[in-house]
Amino acid sequence: MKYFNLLRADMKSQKGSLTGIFMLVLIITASLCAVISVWSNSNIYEKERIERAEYGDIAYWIMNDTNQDALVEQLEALDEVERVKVQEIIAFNRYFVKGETEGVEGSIHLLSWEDCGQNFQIYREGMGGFLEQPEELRDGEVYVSPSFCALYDVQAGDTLNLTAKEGGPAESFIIKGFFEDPVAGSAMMGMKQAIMTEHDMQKLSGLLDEAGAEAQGQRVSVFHLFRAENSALSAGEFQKIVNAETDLAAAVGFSYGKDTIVGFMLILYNIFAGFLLVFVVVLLVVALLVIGHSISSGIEQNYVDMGILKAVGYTQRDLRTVWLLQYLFVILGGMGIGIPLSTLAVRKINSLTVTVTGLLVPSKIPVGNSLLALGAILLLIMTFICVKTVGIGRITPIRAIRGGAEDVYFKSRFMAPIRKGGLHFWLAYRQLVSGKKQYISACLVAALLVFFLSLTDRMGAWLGPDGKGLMDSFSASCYDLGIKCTDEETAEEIEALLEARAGIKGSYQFVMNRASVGQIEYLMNIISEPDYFNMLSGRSCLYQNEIVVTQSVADELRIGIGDTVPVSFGGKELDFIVSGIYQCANDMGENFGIAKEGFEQFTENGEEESYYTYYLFEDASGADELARYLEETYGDKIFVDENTWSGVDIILLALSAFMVFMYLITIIFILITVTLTGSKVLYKEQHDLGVYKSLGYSSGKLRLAFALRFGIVSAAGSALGVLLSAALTDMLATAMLRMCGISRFTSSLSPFQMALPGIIVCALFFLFAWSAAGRVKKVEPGILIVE
Amino acid sequence: MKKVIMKAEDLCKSFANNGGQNHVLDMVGLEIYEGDFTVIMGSSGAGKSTLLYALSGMDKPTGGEVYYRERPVSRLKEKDMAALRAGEFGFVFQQAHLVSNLTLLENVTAAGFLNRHKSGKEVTERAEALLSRMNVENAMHRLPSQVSGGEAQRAAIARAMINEPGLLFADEPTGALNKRNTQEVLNLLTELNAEGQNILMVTHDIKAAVRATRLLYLEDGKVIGEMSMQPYCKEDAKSREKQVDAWLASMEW
Repeated sequence: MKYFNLLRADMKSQKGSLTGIFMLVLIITASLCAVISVWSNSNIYEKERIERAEYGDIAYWIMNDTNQDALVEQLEALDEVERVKVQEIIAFNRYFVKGETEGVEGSIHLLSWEDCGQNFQIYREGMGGFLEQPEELRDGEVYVSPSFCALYDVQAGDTLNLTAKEGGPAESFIIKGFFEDPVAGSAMMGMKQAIMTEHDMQKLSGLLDEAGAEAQGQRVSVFHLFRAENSALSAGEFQKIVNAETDLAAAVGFSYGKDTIVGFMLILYNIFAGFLLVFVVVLLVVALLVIGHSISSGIEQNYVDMGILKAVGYTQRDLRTVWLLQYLFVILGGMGIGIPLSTLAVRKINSLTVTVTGLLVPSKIPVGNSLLALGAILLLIMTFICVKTVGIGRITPIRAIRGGAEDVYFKSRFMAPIRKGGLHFWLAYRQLVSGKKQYISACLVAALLVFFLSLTDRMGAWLGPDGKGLMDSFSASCYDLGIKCTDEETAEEIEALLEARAGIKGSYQFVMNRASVGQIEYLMNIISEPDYFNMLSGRSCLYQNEIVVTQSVADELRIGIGDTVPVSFGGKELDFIVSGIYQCANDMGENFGIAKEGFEQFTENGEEESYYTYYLFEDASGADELARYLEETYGDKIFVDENTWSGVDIILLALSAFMVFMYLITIIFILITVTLTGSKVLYKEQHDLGVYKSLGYSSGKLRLAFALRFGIVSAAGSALGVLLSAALTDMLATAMLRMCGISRFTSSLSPFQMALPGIIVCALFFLFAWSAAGRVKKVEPGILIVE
Repeated sequence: MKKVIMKAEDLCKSFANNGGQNHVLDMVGLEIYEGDFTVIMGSSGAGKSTLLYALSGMDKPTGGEVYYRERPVSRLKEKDMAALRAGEFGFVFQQAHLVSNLTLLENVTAAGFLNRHKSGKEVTERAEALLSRMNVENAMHRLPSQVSGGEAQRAAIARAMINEPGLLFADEPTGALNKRNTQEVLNLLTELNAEGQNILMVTHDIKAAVRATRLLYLEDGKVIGEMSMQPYCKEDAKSREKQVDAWLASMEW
């Protein structure tokens, strides 16, 4: 009761500030809970689903006719292996959707409904949930991942077509619906899975057999290896043991660990959750600055009242308790409403991303983690408030009785005399110089917001309008178009055509395969001209006894430049020297590069690799058009690699949406910051405003001078933000993108692009300050009247 | 026949008071003439300051009209009113009311820079000259918090004079000053009037009132008395004081 009346009165008198702080806390809470929820739920859910799909700790795709029984026996004999599950699938190199109009360069793995249908959930119409008892799949029908909708705008009833023989007729399957595929369901992944009946699989298998050497697919056995319970081995260590102690490595086409698949599936979630988390941290700092300013000005505004309360017996502790309580109520209120609001946001995010991730991630808020994070934020804010309210202790009844306000005195080396030319600017500048403390928060807020917006712009510039930056990071080497021809004659014809249309600047041969380095299997990039590799450090693998590795592989194998590592391929093991670290984010950075000359040591007298020829054009602007032309003209005779990836469009779209969201939040934050800071400043300057008005300054002029102050402050902050972004973006982005295998991020912006976020933020500060200064109109010179 | 520069017709100003209306100015009619040093006197609460603020446009009257050189002041838009204050009116308050973060010189030039017909250099030179004349040249680069009340008030007068106003309003300009500063400020105002400056001042101080060429007496919101005097000269200050005293006594002051 002692505090109740004071609390009520204080909250009433400060309702503007408290409302602003409430809004800030609400936005931070909603964003933070959304990040935690999306990140935590997606990780937990994906792991649950992949377990249910019975995906092993590592899965090996065995392509050739190996003695599987003997292999299984070897594997099961290992102490580290709990069990082995063998899954029979059919892998096609290429598939078509919507008739034969949209050819897709990428493999599709066909699973048997009878074998594993029960392991997956089938989406209801609208993809808002799952069918409890899905209908049996019939012959001629398939289930595919919802990512087909995002990638090819496919709907139930469209067709999936597969060609068993090069140039042969297509087998058509009706897409009955969509299944939740936790293994390859993400639109970010090139590999796809479809479920069909066992009968259809037998039929396709027969057709592939008939096609012989021209077959466009093959039967594959997937060995799912489950680690022994309580095994402390990492995925890499587990794979090392399996490869070292069994004949599996020689038989394997490729393999993926469960963690790698989870990483692939959640790449979009993880990247954006990382960015959003950094954004939330920025917002939290902004909120602290605004709260700090609100407290300092609030104390100044209520100085007399508090002095009087002290005179009648209230202690410093009482007054600070009241302040703490009022902020506590407001913060708890903001958090209380922010949490349910985040549920709505998460529900929306999850429903929007089903067709991208292929997963229907639950929208529930992880209570424990969220409360822990919010508790930490609450503690941080309350500690900050405790520190900021120390000033209450310095209030004395005597000064309060004298009016409380301190005489204005300042000395600044930045002081400049006011001038007639640009009078409003000089008046605004004087206000800033004389009252700089109260504008520091606005300056820092501008700096932080510009920093983050600029960081995102740099990401966008790095990606480029067509995602080329990202593609270049994923590619081991730069190219504009890759062509693989089935015959020499076509290859010559195409090369002549490319030279005529785009001018060939350079070309090299390239192919991907898989091989073990230090007993761990990685993607292997084989190149005829190693100089084309995107090197980060050291030099390329110019000699046949050298390889280059990514930073991820170097970290995992604990190797560096100059070290020697064994590389195994096709049952042969040779030692190679690591000559450098290169950039290639394929397989989340789990890859290495080797010169064609070096690779051929494994295939002497063996099977020749089928290389793509990668071209770099003098004029790359028509590369897309050329690719389409070649596909239409040469059809099955060629394979075209356009240095693009279906997921890029989605990443670009997500980044655009993310930027819109950030700009919206930035607008709200600037509005709140300026309104809170501005109202306090206006209140404090009522007297001076009255004086100016009595001298003949119009409200418009005073508004302009007021808005200019914020314009100047935000310009200084923006400049700082742009500098921070230039200095820190590459480091921060590299740290965040490392999770998807990109170990070097370098960004550059044109001077205009660099300045743009700053210009936007300055304009917003100016506009909102102009709007907040509307109350200048209400200040009359009459306030100077002493009756 | 003196030229009328300001005229008030049926001027009213009321304030809400405990659910009722307190009529501070009640149908006031008056004229201010060119060349005069007009002083409004009256008992405490008579509405002197309220009348001054209503006449100068600092406060809006609730009824009636004020004309300055035949222009209706009360009906002016905010922008036009600001222009009138900048160009035609000068105001000296009871407190100096200087802008706290501008030096004395800048307080003066800030008002002067609103004059479109003078360059920044001309304004600054005039401001320096005015401040010298007000004997604050040594303090002109100081902030208001660093000078005495008298210096601040003299700077305020310089500020009011910077644009050579058509009419200088002064609300108890010596109310917050000590005796020496009071004399200095009154001498300044008298000198300015002698140079042709029109002045309208509110005071309850007889020593200030004797500087007037015309006295108006306000009682219960109405002008009930008026007296004209010759321009002030130091030698007959005592006799003017007696004259004003007698007049005030007749007004039952």
